[in-house]
Amino acid sequence: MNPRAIPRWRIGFVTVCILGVWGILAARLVQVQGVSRDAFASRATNQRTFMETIPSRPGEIVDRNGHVLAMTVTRRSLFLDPSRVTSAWDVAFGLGTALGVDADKLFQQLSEKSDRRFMWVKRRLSEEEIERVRELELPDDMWGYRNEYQRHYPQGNLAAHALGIRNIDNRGSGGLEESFDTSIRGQEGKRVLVRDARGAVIDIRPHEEPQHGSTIVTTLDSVLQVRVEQQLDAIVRRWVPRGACAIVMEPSTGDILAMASRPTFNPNRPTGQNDAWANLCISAVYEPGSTIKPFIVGWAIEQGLLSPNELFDCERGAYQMGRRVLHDHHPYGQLDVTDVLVKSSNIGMAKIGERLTNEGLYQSLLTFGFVRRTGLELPGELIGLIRPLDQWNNYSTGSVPMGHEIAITPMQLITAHAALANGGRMVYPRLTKAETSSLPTPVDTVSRVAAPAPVVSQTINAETANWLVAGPMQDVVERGTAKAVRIDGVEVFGKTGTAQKLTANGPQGHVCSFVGGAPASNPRVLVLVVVDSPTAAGSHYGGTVAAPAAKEILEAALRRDEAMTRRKTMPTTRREAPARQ
Amino acid sequence: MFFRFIGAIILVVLVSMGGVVLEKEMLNLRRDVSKQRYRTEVLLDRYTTLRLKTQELSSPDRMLETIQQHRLTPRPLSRPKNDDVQTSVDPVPNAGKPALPLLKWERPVRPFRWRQKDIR
Repeated sequence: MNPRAIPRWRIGFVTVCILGVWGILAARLVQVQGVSRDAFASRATNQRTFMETIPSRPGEIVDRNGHVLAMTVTRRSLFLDPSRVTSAWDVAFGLGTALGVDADKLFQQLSEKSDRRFMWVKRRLSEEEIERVRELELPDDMWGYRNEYQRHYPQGNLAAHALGIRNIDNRGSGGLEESFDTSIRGQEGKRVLVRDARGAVIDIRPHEEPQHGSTIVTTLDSVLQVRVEQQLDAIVRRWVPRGACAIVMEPSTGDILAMASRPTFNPNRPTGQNDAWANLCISAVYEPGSTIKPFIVGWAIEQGLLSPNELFDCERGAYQMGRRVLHDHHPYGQLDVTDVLVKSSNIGMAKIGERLTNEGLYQSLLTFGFVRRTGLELPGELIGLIRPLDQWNNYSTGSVPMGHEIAITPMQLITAHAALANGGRMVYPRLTKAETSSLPTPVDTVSRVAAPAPVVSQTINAETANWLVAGPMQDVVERGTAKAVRIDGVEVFGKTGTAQKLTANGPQGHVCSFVGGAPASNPRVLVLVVVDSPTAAGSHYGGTVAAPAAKEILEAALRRDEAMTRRKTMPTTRREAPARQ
Repeated sequence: MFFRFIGAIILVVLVSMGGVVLEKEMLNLRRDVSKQRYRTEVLLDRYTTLRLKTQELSSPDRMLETIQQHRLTPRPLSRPKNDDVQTSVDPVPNAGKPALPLLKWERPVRPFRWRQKDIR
């Protein structure tokens, strides 16, 4: 045996070691590449990529002429990287001065969160604030901006209750913002960002495109809305009421042209007194008083229990009805049906109520929609307060025909009056014309929208409804309680209402209202003004408190209607090509 | 043998370089798409900001106040004549004004010139 020869066992040992190491490596390779492939691939992907949410831009709300009532703009929000802030007080003082935030508080936050990488300083900065931050010349790696959407209401507090507000988290609250929240909000998108080993973004892969919010075209007319708001402000200044509201409606279509409520708020700065949030047009009920009388008369004629020319003895102002004595504001003798309405005789109406009986009265309220919601596209609409028929008594027979013992919303009242103005056809009110999905809203979108036909039901026959409007209700304005609404050259019709408010301490204050429209022969516009508890000195009647404002609104509405008609009948702009000789 | 080996190496290098070129071209195109998206967003932001300002300035509340104070006379409702429409059109829109980030492709989309030659 050669002494220099390597022992065979040693060669075998080295071979086994090498093969063993290779075997282990191969096994590991199989595990990494095969068995645990998905887990490792997923870990690698997670290290390189991350998902980012792309916010959807909320849609606009525009009026029927394209004026923007609510829209969304992009604003910059300032953040700091506290871990990179070297001189916290200098930064806090500089930003505090530039942005009007509390420097001490900012310094405290910076000190407490010094190990964090992100901290908001102020969100949704104005252009001036951005300029002031730029002038501070802070180190680039310490701060940054993030774009965020901010809701704006360019018309200020115009139609604030109809619009509602959209909060910082893009959630609608109240009004159309809440009703159409899903449509207006749209749907967020997502994108995948690929980062290198140092964390820098090297690629952006689209994953899911955001669906921007839809534009809502309302039936409101901004110009008319301004007039209505001005009149309500004038009422508040003159009568200092607890609240007031007004609605303007197109009776043939049910379009709400204007709707306002007082007290109000500015949706751009949504702070104010607690009762400012309530839209009295739909979320307040009140005893309608005499404004309900035309429906009782109309229903009694419809049922064949009353003739328009019939005379009623109004008992010289005092009528014993069971244990109760009913009174009129003035003593009247014989009055026909027209004069019962014109002079708003409670005794005459009680006698009509006796003919109808409680069942008939209840049926009339059902027919004119007082025991159901109108279905307007706003949240918080009340149904009204009408007791079940089995709880009515002899008092009800005298009270209901004069608009007591029941409570309804202003929207229910004007909808019912729209039925009278519309030949007995009840058209349900609507606040929106259409919903479009394009953003930004093209200029011609508004003119192209096709509004769906409103639901229509017949209440009383057209002859009775037309007689009520062109007869007694026009006389109410010509020679009755609503003389303040007379407009030269226009056939105005309407009805005033004055109801005492019952509280736990007895009668306290009045609800004064006027509902009416023009022209009586073919009503094109209807106005309702309700004033709750006027406190200023003066006579608190519907004809003195609500009617003057209603006249101003009616005039503005008729001017608008005339302008719209003229615009529609204008010749087209294209010149006809001259005929060839 | 040596030349075959070198040839194979060169072939592999050329194929790799071609791949790198294609990858870079693809990245450039994707960057351009991202830029276009960014420009679209910037334009939309500017549009909404200007729209907001326009709506605030021309709000009915403001206009009515101006008219009531006789600082502005409302024009009678009438259509402009065709001639007026024609003369009001600016032949060079935004002339002399700072350029907006217009949506346009800054670089031609021609990744393979030799293909164009082939087509000819």
